[in-house]
Amino acid sequence: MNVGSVNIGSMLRRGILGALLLYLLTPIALTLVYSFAKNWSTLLPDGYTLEAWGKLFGDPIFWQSTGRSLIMAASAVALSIFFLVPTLFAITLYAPKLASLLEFFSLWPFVFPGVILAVGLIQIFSNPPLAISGTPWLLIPAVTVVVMPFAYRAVSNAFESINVRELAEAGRSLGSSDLQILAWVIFPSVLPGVLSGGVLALSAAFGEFSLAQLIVGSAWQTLPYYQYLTNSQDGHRSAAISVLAFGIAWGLGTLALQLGRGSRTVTAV
Amino acid sequence: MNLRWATFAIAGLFLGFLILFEILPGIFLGITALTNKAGFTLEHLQEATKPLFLRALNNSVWLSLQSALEGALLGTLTAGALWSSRNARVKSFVTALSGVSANFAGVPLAFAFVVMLGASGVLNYIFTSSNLPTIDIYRRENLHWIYLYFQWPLMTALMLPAFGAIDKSWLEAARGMGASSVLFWWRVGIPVLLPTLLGSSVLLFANSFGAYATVYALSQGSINLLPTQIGFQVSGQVGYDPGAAAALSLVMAAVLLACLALYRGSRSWAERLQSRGRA
Repeated sequence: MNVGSVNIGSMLRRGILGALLLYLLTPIALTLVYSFAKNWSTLLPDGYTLEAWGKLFGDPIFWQSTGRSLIMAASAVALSIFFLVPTLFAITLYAPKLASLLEFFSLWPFVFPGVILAVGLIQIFSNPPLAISGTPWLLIPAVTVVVMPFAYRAVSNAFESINVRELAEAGRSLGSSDLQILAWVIFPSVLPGVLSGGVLALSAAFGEFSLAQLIVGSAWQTLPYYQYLTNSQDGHRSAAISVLAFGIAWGLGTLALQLGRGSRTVTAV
Repeated sequence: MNLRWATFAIAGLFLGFLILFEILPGIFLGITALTNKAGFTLEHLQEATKPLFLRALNNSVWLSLQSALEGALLGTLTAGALWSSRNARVKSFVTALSGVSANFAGVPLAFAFVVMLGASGVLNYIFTSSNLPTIDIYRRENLHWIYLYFQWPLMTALMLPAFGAIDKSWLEAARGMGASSVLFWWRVGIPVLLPTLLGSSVLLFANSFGAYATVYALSQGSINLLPTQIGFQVSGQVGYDPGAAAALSLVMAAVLLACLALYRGSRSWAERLQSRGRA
């Protein structure tokens, strides 16, 4: 055994892992300090204050924007799951040939991402009879389309990890109806995967900015848009929002890991 | 109530929803890009080749190539380090952090980099006082530093499963037979990883090519890239030109379609390799 090369290997390993941690955590740590800083133009801030956080939490517009982001993200995820679970159940059990159609729909947003989806949507929905551009009634379906591939991967992985057909056969031979099988067998077994994917999709939807900026802008302001407007007015308050956003993403990510323990990693394509 | 028809009814609703909000916008882009009041036209596509837009396309391609290469190199090394690490806590922490950071983009990320590398950013202060060159984060050439924030952990997360397919006992066996680590990676490791490495790099390229939120938050569209030009043409304070926006969108969709085809190709290559390995 070559001891020298083992040491070099472990040094390289520590070096690259340390570099990644430094790269990912430094911006968050410095932004956190900045949110508490009074005036910061040299190495260290002149002093520390809770003013930015106080202003942020005291601003009714902040709470309104956060509430709207929550409504938008929760509606988009609820809509995805409401559509995806019965559809995947129907396809797996009654029409397996349609699975490739669903796959096609889940890949489409890769080719038409947020910014160009918005261009198309604005053109369709700016004129009567469907003049809903500029309102949450268009933003929520648009966000649903963008997060659907995440939710689809998670739900379809959950369906693949159990053998729906075999479970259904077994249930039927014991005299259960398909509804009973869905409610008591299939649904509980796919639930962890569905919840885990739902939380990931929630995190992605909560931070969605491209669609919000292009479709509604200031007409129905969500949290990222609120931060965008704050950037130019009050840097310290904007820093507080960055930290908050990272905290929310971290919290939801950890929750998704806990919920989906044992299930596979989810990517969008 | 019959369950079969109830689930099919919801699936039907889903189909209608997807056609209206997902497929039709894409088709409308095509129609808008290729027609004017008189009918079929190539004028919008011709407009898309004017110097300003060609520079935007060129800038987007180079930025995406650079950030994909940086992310792919660092992410692959990181995934390898995680694969060979025996510290389970470090492993699970880095994996979880990568998952979160890979999706952390947009306004919050852009501002965090302004805090560090803006005009009065603390890192720039440190660079100045140690006589190092500063980084102006508002310049297009420096945008790749922000994109690396999500590309590096994304590549790490994408490569981890591929490393998982390499059994550590292979490396020990190869060493036991007198092969060096370098020889092992050259003859076994890299060939096993290659399809995933190429496919994931393409994914990183696409991820950067379509990214709009981060650069818009940073510069309100004053950095000339394909996504910012598209956004500008539909919400622009200056020029409102849906025809040009649609034509530029088609260009972007065509590039992303090519990326998707390459990625799918790499996936089936990886699967073939795996089934051959098992046989």
